[in-house]
Amino acid sequence: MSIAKILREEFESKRYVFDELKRAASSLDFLAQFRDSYQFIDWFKATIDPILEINYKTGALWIRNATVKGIILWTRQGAWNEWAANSALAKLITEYRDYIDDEFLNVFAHQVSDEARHFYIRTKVLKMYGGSMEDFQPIKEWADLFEWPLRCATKRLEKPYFQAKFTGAFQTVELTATVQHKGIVDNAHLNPEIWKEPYRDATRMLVEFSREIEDDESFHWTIAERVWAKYATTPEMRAEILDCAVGALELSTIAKIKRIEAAESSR
Amino acid sequence: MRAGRLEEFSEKPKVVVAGNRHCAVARLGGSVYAFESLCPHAKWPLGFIGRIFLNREGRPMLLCAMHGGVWDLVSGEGTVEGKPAPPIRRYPVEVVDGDVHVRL
Ligand code: FES
Ligand SMILES: [Fe+2]
Ligand SMILES: [Fe+2]
Repeated sequence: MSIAKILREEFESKRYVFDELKRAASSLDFLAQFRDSYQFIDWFKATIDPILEINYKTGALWIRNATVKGIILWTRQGAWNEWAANSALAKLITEYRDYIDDEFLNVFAHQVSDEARHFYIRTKVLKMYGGSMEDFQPIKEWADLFEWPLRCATKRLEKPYFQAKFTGAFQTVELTATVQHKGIVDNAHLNPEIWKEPYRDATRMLVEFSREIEDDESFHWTIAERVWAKYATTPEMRAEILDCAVGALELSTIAKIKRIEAAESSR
Repeated sequence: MRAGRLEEFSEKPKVVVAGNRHCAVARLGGSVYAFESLCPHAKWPLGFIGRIFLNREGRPMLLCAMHGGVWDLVSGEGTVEGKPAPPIRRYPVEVVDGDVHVRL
């Protein structure tokens, strides 16, 4: 069975997580039960553990079975993602800067520089494998995913909601990306196919880069933790955060599976 | 809280959520262990990345593969890359007729 199909089935079997999160988001009584914002953040992470597991596998199972051709297709989408991330973030810190606290504005700017570095390295890896970005068209689910944060956050264009909703969407994707890259780093050595010459150096670079990205994405997720720690003190705010986070979690998991499907169809 | 049936658990921890409370539950043979859902090191949920095992002395240990942290599930003590890490919180478990109950 294809890896995309296995992951799709696992995703379907874990839909209950999204239902639970949606139920939580619609119950202010439930959301009032958390002692403080930290307890809310911990509950969120515990609840989404089964979804993080799928995201880990989108790295782990994929890389174990990947072909060089598949890696090229996957990396083209990846490079586009870095670009798309930065266009959303650039908009965020310019057009929407009045809705962001000073202390977070600079952290977002730091993220922009990381995403630019990711784009740089991804295109470099792509070239090492003999690929390029020529004629690239993004997968629809990824385009939707990068539109989601601003679309969701602007539903409440006011302080402090906007920044909390934005990080609910965008930074939750970073959380899933961290574990995906962890999956790649832990498993790439198990696929002899991709270590054959002349691709050995490219694969070594891909693994090193995934390790570097893993650390960056984990830092990008902590931006949400900082914003939520400060503001997720009321049930209303928690509901607003979940409103954006649930959609992002669902979209980003589906998009990763689609990306594998596209890479597999090249066999 | 009722965490589930004994046979649902394995050496791979399962994060069980009931309302706003949660914990991780894992099993080695007939022994069940319950501990906090998030790793004491950097707070990654332990379901997708944790494993429990018996060490050479036969003590139950938890490995969090996120950064290779290891915790002793009896004493709670742990290390990450050889350095002491915050202890892991453990919860009492009771198995009644194959049903696993955790006192949080
Ligand atoms: S998060 Fe578990 S060892 Fe670091
Ligand atoms: Fe990135
Ligand atoms: Fe990122």
